[in-house]
Amino acid sequence: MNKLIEPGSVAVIGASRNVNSAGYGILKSLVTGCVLKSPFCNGFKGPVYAINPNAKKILGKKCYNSVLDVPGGVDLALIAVPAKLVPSVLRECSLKKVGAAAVISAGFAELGTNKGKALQEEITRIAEDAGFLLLGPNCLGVLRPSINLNASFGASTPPSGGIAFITQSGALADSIIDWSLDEMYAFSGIVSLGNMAALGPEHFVEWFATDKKTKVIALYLEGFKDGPALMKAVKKAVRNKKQVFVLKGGRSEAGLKAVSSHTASMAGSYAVFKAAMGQSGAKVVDSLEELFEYAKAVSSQPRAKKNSIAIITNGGGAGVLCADYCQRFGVKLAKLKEGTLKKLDEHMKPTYSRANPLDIIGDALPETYEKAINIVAGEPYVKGVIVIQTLQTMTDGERDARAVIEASKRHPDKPFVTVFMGGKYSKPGKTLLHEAGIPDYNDPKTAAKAMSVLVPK
Amino acid sequence: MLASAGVSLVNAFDCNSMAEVKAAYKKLRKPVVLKALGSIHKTEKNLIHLGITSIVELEVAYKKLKANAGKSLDCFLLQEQKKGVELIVGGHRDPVFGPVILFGTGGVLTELYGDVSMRIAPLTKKDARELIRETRAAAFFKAGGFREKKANEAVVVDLLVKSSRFLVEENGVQEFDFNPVMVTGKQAFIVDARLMT
Repeated sequence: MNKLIEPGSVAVIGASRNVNSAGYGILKSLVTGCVLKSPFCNGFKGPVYAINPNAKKILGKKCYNSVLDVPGGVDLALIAVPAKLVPSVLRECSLKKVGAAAVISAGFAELGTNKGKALQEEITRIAEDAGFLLLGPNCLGVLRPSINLNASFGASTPPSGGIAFITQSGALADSIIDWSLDEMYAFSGIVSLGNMAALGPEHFVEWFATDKKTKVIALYLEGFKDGPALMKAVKKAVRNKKQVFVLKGGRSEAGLKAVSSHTASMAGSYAVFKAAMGQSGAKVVDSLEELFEYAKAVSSQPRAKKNSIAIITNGGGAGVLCADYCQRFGVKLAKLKEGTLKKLDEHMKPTYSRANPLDIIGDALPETYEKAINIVAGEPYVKGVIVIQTLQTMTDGERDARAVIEASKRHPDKPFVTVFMGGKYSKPGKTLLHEAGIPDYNDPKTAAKAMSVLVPK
Repeated sequence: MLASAGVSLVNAFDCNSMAEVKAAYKKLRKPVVLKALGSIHKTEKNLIHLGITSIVELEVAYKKLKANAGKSLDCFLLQEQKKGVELIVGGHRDPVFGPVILFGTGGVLTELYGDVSMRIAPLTKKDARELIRETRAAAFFKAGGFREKKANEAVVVDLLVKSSRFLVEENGVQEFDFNPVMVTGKQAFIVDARLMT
């Protein structure tokens, strides 16, 4: 599996000169890091071999006739030739003794035709007989940002970080990568599973379960075969302190069969899926947004030592809402001690709330935020902080953001989550927070939910 | 099958004639309940008669049920009538995850309430306790019960664990319903069991 996710050398079989083809996109992603530029584009450091019998050079890379002509070893072969050529290409990979192959090409079982299914069975057998791993077919590929590996035709490269994203939809991964450039979702790996002829979600959950870079595993699944194996892999990840979040597509039942028992009528496949994942220690989420809201919080923030959180806000309504949601999602608000309040009395306006949520009043200047954050976050009994900022005429979002970022650095064992509410004029502060890895949301509900996966239950 | 799995049912007899029903009546604690077996939703189809305390009542009930059941009649079941909290314990084989145990608020309105939770079998005692706590029926298992109705957690945990083992071991059983399971502060009785093979 290391040769697939952390290869030392990569060959692109079907490297193409046509800028609109997957074969070109993959080679460019490997050589430069991205097709569409991002601040995280760096070319892969190991050898990248282009295989195309009809070209001499593509993107500065010499082209070989066949993978068998490559001078060095090949850990990972990316295959982007027409489906009917894939078996012969894989046989060459077998002779070359590649470590793993990712088949990007489409035109297999997903067609639903007997021919497509037979072709998929054939390539599965070739890989099995040769003893190399097969990802796909019909997949986007693999990304491992920490080693500048973008072995995919994903549009760009996301930041490197703690989220392992394993997805049954490659197209989703594409858009998530673009999304991540705004929201700073940072990845330890992205794997597109494709048709899962051989490797399924359980194999990758198992691998990321022991990966040091990974803090959280985010899964997008539709259908898969081996439920018990996935449960086992998820349990292993949870035992290794990785949080696992799962989103399932294709939840509606294909039509109710004649009901022969009460149990059968209530044990629908999605209900069983939820039960199985919950039992294994994963959290089942309802949308892509939720998947990444949680994943981002867990990957960028430490776990709170105790469920004892403070809310600091310059807006009453936002604070009240946030407190309501905290209660709903099981986040406990710390009762501020008299000693803390005495310290706050010296710096806050007399009208401040003297309670948690700590309402420091609408006209709070950056100094007020700094004092409030420092005093509250500095209390040993406060184990995490939610900072809310509503936009008033005197609000300085960037300085308020810096106050949060500084406090987060001073208290690396406490999670910080922010709600810098607004749009256009709140953006500079939000951007600073995103770049510093502070999960910032626009809705107090989302912040409360994010904090709920950062506190012990 | 259930007895050998250690799962106890209410005292009852299968009967195929009025004479057998009468003989069974003498051996059971009153009141008794007569059921015409063969389909689910017996209450709605008038295939069940509760609170029988005399031979006369028994004869009337027998004739009525026989007429209501018509061709679907498999046989009659005469059993002791129990009181308690009505719960459901079910088993099902999921094509992806395998044997699944379902638990929740039982009775004739179980699907309407939808107050059920599930675990992949086999269940440990800890799994079973968590399963109970995930449902609203958990209220009955608290020290004070709910509105004077109490359910004994240990016996239900035992039933869940044994039912899950039963489902894992009996490959021929595709699904089962124990609905209702009548639970009191001391005991649990499977009042209606339906196995699909």
